[in-house]
Amino acid sequence: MGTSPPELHTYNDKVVRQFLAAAIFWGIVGMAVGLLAAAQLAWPALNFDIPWLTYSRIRPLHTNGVIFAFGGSALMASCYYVVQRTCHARLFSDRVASFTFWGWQAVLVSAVITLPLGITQSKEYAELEWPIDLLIAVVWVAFGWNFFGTLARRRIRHIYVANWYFGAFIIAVGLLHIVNNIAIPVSATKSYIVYSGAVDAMVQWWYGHNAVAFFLTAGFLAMMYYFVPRQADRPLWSYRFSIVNFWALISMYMWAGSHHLLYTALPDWVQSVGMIFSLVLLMPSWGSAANGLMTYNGAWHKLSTDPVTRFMVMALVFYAAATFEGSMMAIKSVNALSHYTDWTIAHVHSGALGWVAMITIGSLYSMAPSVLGRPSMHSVRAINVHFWMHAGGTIMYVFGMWTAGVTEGVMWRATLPSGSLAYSFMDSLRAIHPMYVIRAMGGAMIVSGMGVMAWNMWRTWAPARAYGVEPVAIPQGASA
Amino acid sequence: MSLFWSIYVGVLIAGNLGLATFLYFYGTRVKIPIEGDGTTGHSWDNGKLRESVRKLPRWWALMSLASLVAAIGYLVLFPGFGNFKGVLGWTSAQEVRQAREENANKLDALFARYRLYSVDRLSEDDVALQYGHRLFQDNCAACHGAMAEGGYGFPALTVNGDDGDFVMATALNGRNGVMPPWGAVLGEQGVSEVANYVLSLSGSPHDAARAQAGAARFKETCVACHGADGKGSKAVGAPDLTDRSWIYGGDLASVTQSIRHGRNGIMPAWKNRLGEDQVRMIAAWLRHHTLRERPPQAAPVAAAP
Repeated sequence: MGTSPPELHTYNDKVVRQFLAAAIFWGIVGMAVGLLAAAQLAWPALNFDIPWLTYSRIRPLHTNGVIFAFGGSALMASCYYVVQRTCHARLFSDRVASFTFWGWQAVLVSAVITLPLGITQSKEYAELEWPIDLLIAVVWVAFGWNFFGTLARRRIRHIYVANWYFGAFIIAVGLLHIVNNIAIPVSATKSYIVYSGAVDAMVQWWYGHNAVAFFLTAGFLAMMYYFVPRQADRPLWSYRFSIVNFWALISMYMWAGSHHLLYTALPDWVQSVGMIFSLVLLMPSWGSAANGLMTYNGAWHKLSTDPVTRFMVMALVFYAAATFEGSMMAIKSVNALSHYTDWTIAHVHSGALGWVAMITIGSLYSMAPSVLGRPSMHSVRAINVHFWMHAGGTIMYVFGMWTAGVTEGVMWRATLPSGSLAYSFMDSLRAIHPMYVIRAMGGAMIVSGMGVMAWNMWRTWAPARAYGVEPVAIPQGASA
Repeated sequence: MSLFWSIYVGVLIAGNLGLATFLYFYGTRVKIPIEGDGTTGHSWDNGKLRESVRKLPRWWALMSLASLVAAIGYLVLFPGFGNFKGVLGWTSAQEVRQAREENANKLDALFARYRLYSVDRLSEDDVALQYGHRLFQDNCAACHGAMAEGGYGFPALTVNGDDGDFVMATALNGRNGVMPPWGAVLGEQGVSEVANYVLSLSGSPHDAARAQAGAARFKETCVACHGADGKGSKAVGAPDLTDRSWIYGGDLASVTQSIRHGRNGIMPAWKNRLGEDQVRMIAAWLRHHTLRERPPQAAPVAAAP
């Protein structure tokens, strides 16, 4: 190693710190916008008759903010952190890493500007217009190049399971993004998607569901597979499980998109195929949840002392719950009740707030001290406060929306002996209004919890701001 | 779907279900070499990250097997495997058609009975009222308000809502309610004076001096439709200005707006969307609601001489 440049002996944690700070910033922004949207649904006057504050523009800002800004920044932070430590190698290129950070932030700032202006492709989770889509594609390819480049020069022969998931996440999201956004531009801010009719709907939900599968599941499973065993300080429960779960998950998720379009103009066979593969997805979903949870066998006592463990265990419980629920909702007769109701919102948020946000928050708390050169977070008690605020808010949110969703589903389909509908749409809105208020209250708790996290992170960061951080040396002894 | 695509789809489905089944059996049985501590011997992150190799839990094996069997069973029974229609011969289109027919039969029986009734009679029938109210909320309330109270630019229906035939005609065929704008003719002061005079006709709060000044202008411009006494004419579509029910609002600002800019209400025809049977239910509820909500009639105040 004597001839290689000195920085090759240390990890590049600068880009990890950048993405870590961005994740917390965007988490607060994205969730605060979500809180505004939730409050507008309970009290519509809260759009103040200002066009860019209307629900239709705020809602995509919220989804993009939490998925791509908060989730995306956290995924890139943890990916860069994990791939270096599981390969015993510095990132392939510091410059490309820096480009991915600034490029991704440019995408996010563009989203914050264009979405409130009403500039949109009108495709859910793919609202951003073509110039931003192009930038996403470039940044994504750079991210993938850096990840696989690092993997290629790893000094540990065996590739850890977290990197299988990061790899699948990067390849699949790139593919989904490009195929779904093929469009013909007519001006700098407007384009038309090349697909039409039922095909457009199918492509959109092939993308939409796999954004859930590969962005919000595979990416965060990668996070889980690294940080859970590290936090438990136990070996991962079963390698055998990792193999079965990984290949089953990445092969079957691609089919599942059509379960978003049950009982529509989509041909029956496409609907059926989406449904059955969603059912079989229980196998890898519960497999991964079990693989994570059982890693804690022998370390369950940490639940009583370590709030980060609480975040991770709760995340896995929500992952199991949300994936079971998802498989059930993909069954046509269940979907006939749940579709178009707030049950869908409950399901998405039990996944997003319960699984994605909790595994992210746990991982960020776990990762931050080591990239900031600190032995631990500034305040463990504050982590605990954050846990209870987040868990309490999530439970209020999810149970509120479950109640609202089932109420809507039951009211909308209720008919009288005369054959006429029992309730008007307005009746159902009046019935669920209290649930909308509870949801907004839960959201307020969650956003406040993120504020506690930001404070804690700021304090943990203080020595690093004052004196800088000593780079972490790469272990030189090669392992098997 | 052509034979090619049917085979293409079938191969992909069978291939992926086959892969899942293979993983289920192979993944649970394949020998993975382990070290003495039960791990694979792989280690990462300076030895801090390792992985064990354990048997998979029985509940998981049973659940996975059940989901695979359910999936394959579903493809045998229902359409999904390429062009194969499934042994049950089910289609979603047929399911919808059947459900709609069953419901339509029930409704036809109800409509047949109610066709014999007048709107007045139906407005005392609980089933018709429930149905009519529900239809009103789903179809009319967006413009006319949940309680038919009207909205900005949209008429309150509690003015003429008791007249079943009138409501039926309006809802089925639509109506174009036009009041011409008088701002240019009367001038700002004239508009204000006439507005106060109009309010005085029903004894609503008004400025007496302006109302007095407006009386003459009212006689010049308004009487042709609204009549010398201001009682209007339903045949012409001119509302009665002497009662306290207002189509577009009875405060000074609303009346001023009506006179200055006129009104151009366009009610679309609902004949093809709802049909006569359902519109009759709405008319019944609206009559019932109007009679219940109508404000007590104030005696018109004699206009100042």
